[in-house]
Amino acid sequence: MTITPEFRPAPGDLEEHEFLVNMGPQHPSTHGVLRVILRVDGERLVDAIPDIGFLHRCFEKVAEGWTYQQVVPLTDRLDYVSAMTNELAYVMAVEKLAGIEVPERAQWLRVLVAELQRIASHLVWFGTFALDLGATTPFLYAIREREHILDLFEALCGARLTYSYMRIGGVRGDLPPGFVGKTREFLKLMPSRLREYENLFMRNRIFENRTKGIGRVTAEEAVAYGASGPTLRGSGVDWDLRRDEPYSAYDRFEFGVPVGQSGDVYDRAVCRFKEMYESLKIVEQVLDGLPEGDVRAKVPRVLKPPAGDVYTRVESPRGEVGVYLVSDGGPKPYRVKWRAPSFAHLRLLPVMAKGHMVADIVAIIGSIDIILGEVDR
Amino acid sequence: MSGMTDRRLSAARALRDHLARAAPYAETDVRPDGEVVVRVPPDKAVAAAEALAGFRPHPLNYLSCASGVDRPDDDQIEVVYTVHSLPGPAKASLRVRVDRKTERPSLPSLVQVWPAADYHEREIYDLLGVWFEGHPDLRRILLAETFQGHPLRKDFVQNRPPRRRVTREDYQP
Repeated sequence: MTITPEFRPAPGDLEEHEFLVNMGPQHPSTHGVLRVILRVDGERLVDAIPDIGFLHRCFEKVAEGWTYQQVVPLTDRLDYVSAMTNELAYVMAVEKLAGIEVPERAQWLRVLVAELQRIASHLVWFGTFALDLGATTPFLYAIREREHILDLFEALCGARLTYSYMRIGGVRGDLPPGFVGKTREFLKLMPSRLREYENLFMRNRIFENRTKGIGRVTAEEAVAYGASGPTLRGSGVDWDLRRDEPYSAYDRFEFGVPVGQSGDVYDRAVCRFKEMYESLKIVEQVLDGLPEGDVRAKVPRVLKPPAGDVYTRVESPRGEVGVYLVSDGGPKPYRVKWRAPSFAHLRLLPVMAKGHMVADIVAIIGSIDIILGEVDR
Repeated sequence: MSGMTDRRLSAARALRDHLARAAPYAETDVRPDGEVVVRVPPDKAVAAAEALAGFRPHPLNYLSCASGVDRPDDDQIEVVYTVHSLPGPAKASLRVRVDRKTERPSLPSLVQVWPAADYHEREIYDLLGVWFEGHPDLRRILLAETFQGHPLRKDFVQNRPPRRRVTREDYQP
């Protein structure tokens, strides 16, 4: 079906009793500026066509004009809810291309902040997902807990959202005084809070009725369409880059990978929720065994990696963040391509939505946890 | 971490041998990290992709990324499909080059082999101006339908067409 930007279907494209409903880009449950064109037959969805690009900032073109170090703050602004893992994906690509060895302590600190970031990001997801489904209270609770993590990050690097904490060759600085104690307080508090949310919301009858059996994706579809992270694991594929392709220091830690079965909204939500417990375990192990040493390798001020290309990927809260980086031997990247998990998941949206009711599309979009900043770049 | 690289390297050697049989026209190269670089001419891209997806016991079934790289020095645009086996250690990148000086540089679409290529190919079409033949829905994805030019080409800024006011007529079907 062809749709013109003025939202008019080409003649003859629609069946007699079908019509189009425009959703977004200004819609509270699209988490940013996503427009979805819904083709409906009564209350039933025949198709859902995502229309993206409203937040396009030409990141890849801008990055070609800046030096390798200058690109790090740009990556914060892609997936702004999980800036730490974005930076990690990018600096890992540069380090691999330039052959830079990162000190052990810096690797552990990277894991520490990445896991705290995962909890913060999942808390935002949890709050907004509940809000989408009509429960207002969990949002206030989740933001209250996220505040602890943002305070820790603010003490660490001075910023609360766009950190630029990762540097090529390590991290920006060591932990500030009192950081470990405050993190341990958070670790002590958080499991009971998570159990509270579980009882209040995740085991709520209304929540289960609205999410079970909705937006089902089979394991084959999830792999074929490039799903990753909790969206992939919700469909029963046991795959986590942190465990199966360990980067940074992840091979030093013990943690579980929650896997769902049926691939519906409920299983994806449960996978995401349980991941927070596992992240807490990793954070605790990092604090217990943090090695001494430098936090940054010596890196030349004008970095010129040898000509070549590299693809690195990390497990962000949303899934596989990949960076395809090409160097021509100069001080600026020749090409940076950002592989965003949400971009791949939006391709799955029509697959998930087909045959469900109009009200379910809100639950489906919430369950794949899209961030339009990284979709549109 | 080294155990992962070892498994990846042995999978890479097996994949190279598989490609020597299933896709003899492909130029293959194994990198130290175990990535198999596969270079093919455009008319063999679909067959090479099917050979990669048909590799056993680690079929390269998971398309992570497809990126276009403009190389004006060679007068070419390179499209790189980064594929992984899931679950499994194999990793490959399929590279196809197309002449960028023609009016309509075109490559065969690989959506039939890897459905995930859909949005990535639309993005390459949008930003680099490569037409994918056989793509089910080749439209601009990030930029507006009325946008002129392809910004990720290296000469976009010099050759940018003059900005034109968008009128109502532009939106007629």
